[in-house]
Amino acid sequence: MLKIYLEKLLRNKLAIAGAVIIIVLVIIAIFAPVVTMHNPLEGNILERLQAPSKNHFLGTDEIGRDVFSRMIYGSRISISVGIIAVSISLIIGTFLGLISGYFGGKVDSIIMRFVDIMLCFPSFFLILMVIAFLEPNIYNVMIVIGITSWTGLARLVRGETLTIKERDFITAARGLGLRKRRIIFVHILPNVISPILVSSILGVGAAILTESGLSFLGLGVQPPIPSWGNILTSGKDYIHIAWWLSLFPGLAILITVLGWNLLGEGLRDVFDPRTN
Amino acid sequence: MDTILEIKNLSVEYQVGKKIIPALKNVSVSLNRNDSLGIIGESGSGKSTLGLSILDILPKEAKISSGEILFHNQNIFRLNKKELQNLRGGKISVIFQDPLSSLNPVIKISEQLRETLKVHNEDSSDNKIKELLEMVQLGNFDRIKNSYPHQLSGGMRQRIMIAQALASRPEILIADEPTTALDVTIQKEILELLKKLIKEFDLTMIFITHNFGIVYDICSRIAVMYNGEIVEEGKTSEIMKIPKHPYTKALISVIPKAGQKVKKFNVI
Repeated sequence: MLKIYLEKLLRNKLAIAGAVIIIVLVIIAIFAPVVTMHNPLEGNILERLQAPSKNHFLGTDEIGRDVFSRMIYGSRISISVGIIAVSISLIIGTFLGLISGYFGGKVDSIIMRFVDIMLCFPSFFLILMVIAFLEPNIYNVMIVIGITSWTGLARLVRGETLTIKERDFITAARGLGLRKRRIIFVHILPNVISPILVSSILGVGAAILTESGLSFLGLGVQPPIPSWGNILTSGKDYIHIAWWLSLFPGLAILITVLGWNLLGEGLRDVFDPRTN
Repeated sequence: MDTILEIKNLSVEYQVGKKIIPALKNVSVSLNRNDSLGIIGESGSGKSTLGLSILDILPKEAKISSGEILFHNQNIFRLNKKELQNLRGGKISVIFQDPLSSLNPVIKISEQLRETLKVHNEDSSDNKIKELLEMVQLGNFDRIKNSYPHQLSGGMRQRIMIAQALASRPEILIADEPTTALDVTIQKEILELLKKLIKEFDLTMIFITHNFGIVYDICSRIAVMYNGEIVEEGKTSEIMKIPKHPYTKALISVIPKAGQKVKKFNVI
């Protein structure tokens, strides 16, 4: 089973491109101290706003810090925020979706009405509101993105659960005397895992974008800790004289989100039984 | 003879939207030890509903509006969760119609068997699983052990369902059209296997089908269902000889008989 999927995945060029982008990024993030030549937090004020050169690949910012180093360290933030936020929403969304779909009735109504209420708010506005009450730092950003982005997944899992639970093997499992908990997590969950996987991988891209947006607005990762979003913020004031400050973080966000989206879309094709 | 299962005035309704559709109307039937009762009827006559209600595993839309089912004189609708779980797949097992859709497609065969054994506190070692598979005449243990349901043929899957149903040495086996989805030759093999196992396990059997030929072969008693009611019940030989209800007559008239010339079908 896994082998068939893997072969299908390897034939999908876009998915491979996405996977390569992500793998390269993760490797760079892990080996950040080896890759960079300068300290991302300390700069030489005399070298401020220098254009890209041999010494500073992507130039320097307004207080002379190396933009390349800051971006590499910033990738750690983006990737970890993306993955952890999605893990949180994955756990909440899958759990509530399964419960809602399997039990139906009142439990389903309560969970789904709550999802409807959550969906009434623009999610970015919701995140801004929560962050305003909490201290804006990387951990709060992860948690807040996680607990505001599970609704779509919960709906998706609920829908899948509704179709799976009508299948004969679930009746058979009940007939064999299995407990509900076991039926839900051992018999239904593995059958709904592929849409969960696709939606989560697409979700990582979205979470990275949200984190960048929050940091850009000054509500995410706080300076001097570098993140792609806050490098962009400081860049916007100098956009006429130092284009590299805005261009490179922007490109980095674009490529990263593109990578996750390509992989997500590719996996969707792989899991789709209609494609061969 | 001791009665082990008694269904008394059972009525079940399905709620579809605002409509209430009766599926079983005042069904009463009882089962003695070592009986094999054939429940026969057309699609929608309520025969599968009857099978599911014995284990209380009806879908949510179904409601038991009256009646009781006594297993060893204990009403199964009054059992607590634990007792019900011991009953299901423990004392009473069920085999379903379509062996492909009745096995979980993403779990290995051996794990599904192991799970059933564990739930009923039986030995769940590889040896025991091998023994179970040999019991249903599946010899190639090493291959089957790591297979997923879709990698096996329909006949093999039905054998696995039977092994799973008998894993906990039940007293009653409910077979809900176990051969309908299979080829005729495989049907015969599965029926022979069931016959052998009924003897070996000293099983009491409920055989749900729409095929009179099978019932005649395997069942000592027959209950004919029509439109949610049992319209005729009795010994197989008696019913075959003197069918009373028009639906029973119609069913018997369509059994193909060996040596009988088939009337030519008029084609326009």
